[in-house]
Amino acid sequence: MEQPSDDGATGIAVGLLAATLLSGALLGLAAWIGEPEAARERPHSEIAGMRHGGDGAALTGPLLAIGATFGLAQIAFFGLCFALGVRRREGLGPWRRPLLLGLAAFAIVWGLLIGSYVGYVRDPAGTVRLLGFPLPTAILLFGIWPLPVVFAVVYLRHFDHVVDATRLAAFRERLAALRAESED
Amino acid sequence: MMEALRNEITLGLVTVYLGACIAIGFWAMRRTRSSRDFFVAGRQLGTWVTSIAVFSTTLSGFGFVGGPGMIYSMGVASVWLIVTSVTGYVLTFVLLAKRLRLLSEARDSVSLPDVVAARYGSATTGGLVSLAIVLGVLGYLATQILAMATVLQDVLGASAESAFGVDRSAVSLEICTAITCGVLVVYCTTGGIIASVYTDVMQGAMMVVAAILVCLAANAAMQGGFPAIGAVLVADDPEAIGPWGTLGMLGSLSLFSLYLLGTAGQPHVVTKLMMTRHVGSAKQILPLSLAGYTMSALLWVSVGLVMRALVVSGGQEPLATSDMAAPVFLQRYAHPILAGLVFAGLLAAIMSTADAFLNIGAAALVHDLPKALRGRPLANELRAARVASVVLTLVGAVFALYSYHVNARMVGFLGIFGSATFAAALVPVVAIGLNWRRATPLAASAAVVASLLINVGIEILGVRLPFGIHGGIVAMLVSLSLFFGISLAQRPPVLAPDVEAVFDV
Repeated sequence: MEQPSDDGATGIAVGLLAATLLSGALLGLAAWIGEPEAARERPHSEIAGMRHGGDGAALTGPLLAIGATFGLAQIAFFGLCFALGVRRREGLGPWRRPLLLGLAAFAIVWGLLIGSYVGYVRDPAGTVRLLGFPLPTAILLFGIWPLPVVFAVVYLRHFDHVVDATRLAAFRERLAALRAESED
Repeated sequence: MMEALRNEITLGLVTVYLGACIAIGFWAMRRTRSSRDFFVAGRQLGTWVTSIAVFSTTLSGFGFVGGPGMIYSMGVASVWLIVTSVTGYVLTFVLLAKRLRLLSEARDSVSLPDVVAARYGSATTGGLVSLAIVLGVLGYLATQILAMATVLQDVLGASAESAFGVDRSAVSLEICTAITCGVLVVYCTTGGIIASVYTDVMQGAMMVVAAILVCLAANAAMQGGFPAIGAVLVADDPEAIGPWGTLGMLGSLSLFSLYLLGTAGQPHVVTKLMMTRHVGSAKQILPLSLAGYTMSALLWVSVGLVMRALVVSGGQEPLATSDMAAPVFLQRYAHPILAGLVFAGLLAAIMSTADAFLNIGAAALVHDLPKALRGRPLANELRAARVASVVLTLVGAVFALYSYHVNARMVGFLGIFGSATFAAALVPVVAIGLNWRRATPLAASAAVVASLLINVGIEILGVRLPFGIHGGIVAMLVSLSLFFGISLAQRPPVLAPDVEAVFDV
């Protein structure tokens, strides 16, 4: 039996494999560089059962770059998975542009978080605060957390492309025919 | 007046709630006539019910106890679990809402391993997935039983002390475990998954409201509200209130990576997508469940932060364990009725999640494993599923008590093992495999086996990864690499015509 073509999906799968291998390589590289003693998590000096985060400044340099790249790899992974889920044989169709814009926005907010963290570890007390949260944490809470909602909106806006009534009816007809065939 | 009756109010609300859960179980029993009703609610769930069930089953007892406890202990690090849940929800719906529902319709599947066996045309792959599910379910179940028994012990002990002057230690954990198992057995064996989802609805709807009120109470618990909380935490430990918490950047990002896709591998969440009446209802379910989850998660973040700040500033004595963050906050800083409602909601959350796991475990034992081993499920599947639910409850209780008395790591180990195994084993096999025709049965089986071996190895050998990196991420990366690598190296598989039809929709 001839197998139908699965061109675009396999290209995405190769991209996902690359993102997976990159993530593993980055974690391996971080482990090889080693964990600076000063940055290591430790018990809180005064309160039992509470942890203390160590010195964040000790993490800047190559480890911060590794972490930042690892984050970008996860964003790419997210985007590729999204593309895998919504694509059709014909390609990404109406998804391409909003998906690329959404991913670009994700990467920019991620960059802002990393940049503001560098400033924060230099002067924690002097950092801008939003609702009491230091700027990088505020970016996490009010930027990274709600950002995927953009992708949800895009998904819902083009939902008819995902669950197409005509294709669904054709599926049910095909299923009924297959069942009738197997009963015969 | 209300303050003086705090324990009685809590006990009263908890009793009413547990009574309501049992009533739901008996009501659901009348709607459970077949194993299809028992396992997938007859594929007749409506939009609102599924929406609330999806987010409340994700949160479970962990969201109310473990989550605030993690923020108390580790600062902002655990927020990554919430952040990734949002991306995880989006990917879960994008990857699974349509194809999982349609394939389960095409094959009349009642479980995830059923769908996997159909997708890959391999009983072996389905059997391996059911094995991973049974192992993971036992861990989760023991965690839920122990959590519920601990909360009951706290509530009943406090009430016995204030009402009868009895020492609270007279209410033993064994008694509370027996009560827990009794309620669970009645509730699960009667109502199956229908009882679970309707309890989820009751609990989820209430928790959205309660979480907003708890967030306001948290803001009021410290003079100056959240800005003051932030200032106290920055002064004490800038990293704790920084974006990575005390865990550090790579540790937090490993959580991000694991759960970004991991939600799509949690069987108690994704099987809900097989139960909807219409495949198109995903359009409403995604935004509703996202909104419900986000609002409920406010409890997780706000209670954890305020308790850490109160203890650091000396306004509250240090907690005996980090898991006491939410109970202590509710007892000391929340209105008694709000506290009672959240305690009752917590028990309902644990019950419905335990029920969902019992259901999935029972399906694996009486339907999937027999199909993989001898080609057909057990006879009289509905009765067998009820018996399997009782057996699983008892095994879960033994694990829970063993962990409490002998090996404190046992339940934690099984819980982490379950969550990480589900993520590492099921994400490639189910979430990717249902969207990529070229994925092969050998690749899927290798991914499941590798995730089981690596997760077990890391936990049993006590391997500590640098930077607080979660061991599950190693299993996930290896599992994904094997899945993609082996599939690409093999010839593309020939799919069954109905599976091909699902891919074409």
